[in-house]
Amino acid sequence: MALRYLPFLRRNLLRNRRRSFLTLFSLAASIFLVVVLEGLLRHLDDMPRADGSEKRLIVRNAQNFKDPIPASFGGKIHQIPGVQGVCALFLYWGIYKDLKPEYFFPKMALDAERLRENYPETRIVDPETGAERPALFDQFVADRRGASAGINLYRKYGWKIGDRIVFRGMGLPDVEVTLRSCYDGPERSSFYFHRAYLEELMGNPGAVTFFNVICENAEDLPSVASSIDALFANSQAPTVTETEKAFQGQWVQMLGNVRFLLRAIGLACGFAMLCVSANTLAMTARERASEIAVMKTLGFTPGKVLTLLLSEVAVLCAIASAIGSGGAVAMFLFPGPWHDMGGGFLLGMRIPPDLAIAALPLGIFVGWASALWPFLRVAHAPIASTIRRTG
Amino acid sequence: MSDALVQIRSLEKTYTRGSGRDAQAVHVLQGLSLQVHKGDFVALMGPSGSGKTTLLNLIAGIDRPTAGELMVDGLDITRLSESELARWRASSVGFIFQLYNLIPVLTAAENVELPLLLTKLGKRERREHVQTALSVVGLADRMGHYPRQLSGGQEQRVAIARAIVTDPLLLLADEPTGDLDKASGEEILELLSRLNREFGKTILMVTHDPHAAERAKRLVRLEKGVLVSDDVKAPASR
Ligand SMILES: Nc1ncnc2c1ncn2[C@@H]1O[C@H](COP(=O)(O)OP(=O)(O)OP(=O)(O)O)[C@@H](O)[C@H]1O
Ligand SMILES: [Mg+2]
Repeated sequence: MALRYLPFLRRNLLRNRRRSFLTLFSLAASIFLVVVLEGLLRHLDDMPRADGSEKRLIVRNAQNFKDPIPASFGGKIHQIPGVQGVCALFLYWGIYKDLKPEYFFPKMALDAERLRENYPETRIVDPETGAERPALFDQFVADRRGASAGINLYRKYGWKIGDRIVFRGMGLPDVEVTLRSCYDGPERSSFYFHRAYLEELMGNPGAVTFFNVICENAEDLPSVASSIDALFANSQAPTVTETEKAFQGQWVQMLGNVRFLLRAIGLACGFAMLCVSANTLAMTARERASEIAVMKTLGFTPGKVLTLLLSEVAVLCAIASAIGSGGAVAMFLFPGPWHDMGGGFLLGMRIPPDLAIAALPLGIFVGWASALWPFLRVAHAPIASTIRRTG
Repeated sequence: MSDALVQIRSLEKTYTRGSGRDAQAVHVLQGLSLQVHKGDFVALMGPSGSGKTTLLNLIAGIDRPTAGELMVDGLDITRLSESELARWRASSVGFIFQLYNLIPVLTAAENVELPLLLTKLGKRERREHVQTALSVVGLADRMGHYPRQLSGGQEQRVAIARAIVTDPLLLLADEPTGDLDKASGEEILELLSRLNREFGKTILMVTHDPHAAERAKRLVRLEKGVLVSDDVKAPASR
């Protein structure tokens, strides 16, 4: 039944090609922007605001960040009241493939069995699907020469579970490990392997770059931090303890501002889109007033006229949304320079399918919202006086 | 009496010009009565502003009277709702405008098909009806032409095809030759009288041209909203 109106719709959409295409592309561009911005926001939201971080402390050498501290400090720290768990980390300097920046990522030798407790916000996932796969973690813990890498590294280098990874040490032994696990979380671009294995290669020096300390309560952090520093003040390696949040503080705050900015831009885009289409559609309605009066003379009811006009708008907006939203999806699906922007935090960003699909009704809704008033008016305008006025 | 297709009694139409305190009533039709019989061809003449278009629009159901009786084919169209009126127009009235008023983005055939989209006819039947209507007006070879590719006279013939394609009871034409040169106007008049003669269409035509009025079987004169003369002529000589 509605099929018979298709040629009519098509002719009207192509009536003023330039205007239709300009409208189409401004709508598509706005939809594209809104989808990308919303995608970014979702991506930011997907990085859970490290819910462990406010309970964590970092203990490092007071003199120099890179100087080691004795591993034996770990046991002493653990005994301080309020401390829940301690994970020792050794920052390993080694080259993957070559020195090019695209092959750089942080590598850490750590107490694998402590990871779970110290980083509760981290999820163990399948590197291909991103679905949770906790069993991988046990395989990592069980294999002394096993490794766990962030999902971003898997994606960036096309790694698979079971791949052998070799690092040439810089003033340190070479390391050859097997990928056993993959993690995803607020941080997803580091490489972890067993500290016990590196210790053995280095001849058991008992050296640690820093300790990650998780406390039972976030409120205890200041007192625990001062207890730790007091404990080692007179040792051969005095320490500085600060909250992990202090590290992240600035970043989180910046993120908050970015979030606000993105929302504001998105809203402005939506509003601009509404204005552009409202203006164009009001113009169209005015121009076609006499034709519509003629159609009503032929027997088209105001409702039928309105349906036809709104269908035209829906078709135009649906095409525009498909182009805009499809463009946004494609942009993040295929590699491009934007993947390296933002310090790699865009790596692995995808436009969620539900967002891409939601753009369609959104576009149509905006079109209808801006069309309804002028079209209602023109559909219900009295025939005789419209024809008298416009000829 | 019973075969009156259009039955008008004491018809009044008042417009309000301006608004608020300056509002001013314009009494365009003042108690007009008229009967048009089936198969009639009526020419409606009168000075500019006498209410000819207003009367035609009321009969076509695209405007509503202020008071009075207006029956078409036994139906009181003043009582119909907006959408009932639209459906009634679709089936009962063919309207021909002075400025043709074809839809510019549609071809001749699509313009003629437009009123058929409101019917239950299938695609093939619609095409047949369109072909028939366009052959009646002598434009069967211009189906795919757009209005801008046609002359004024041809456009008006397409408009007539559009008006007759649903086979309505009543054809209403408001100065159908008003914008045409003499020769094209002549063709249109010939076409209208043929529709009246051969197809038995009832026609009511507004015109300023006495020569055009010659073609009609009956001449009605309107002045300041009232009928001033009504001449039934001898059957058209040609
Ligand atoms: N919507 C309206 N509002 C106010 N006045 C109107 C309106 N429509 C028509 N009129 C007035 O009604 C009167 C009759 O107009 P109408 O168009 O019926 O005359 P007409 O006989 O067709 O004239 P013409 O020969 O110039 O076409 C005119 O004075 C006109 O100004
Ligand atoms: Mg007139």
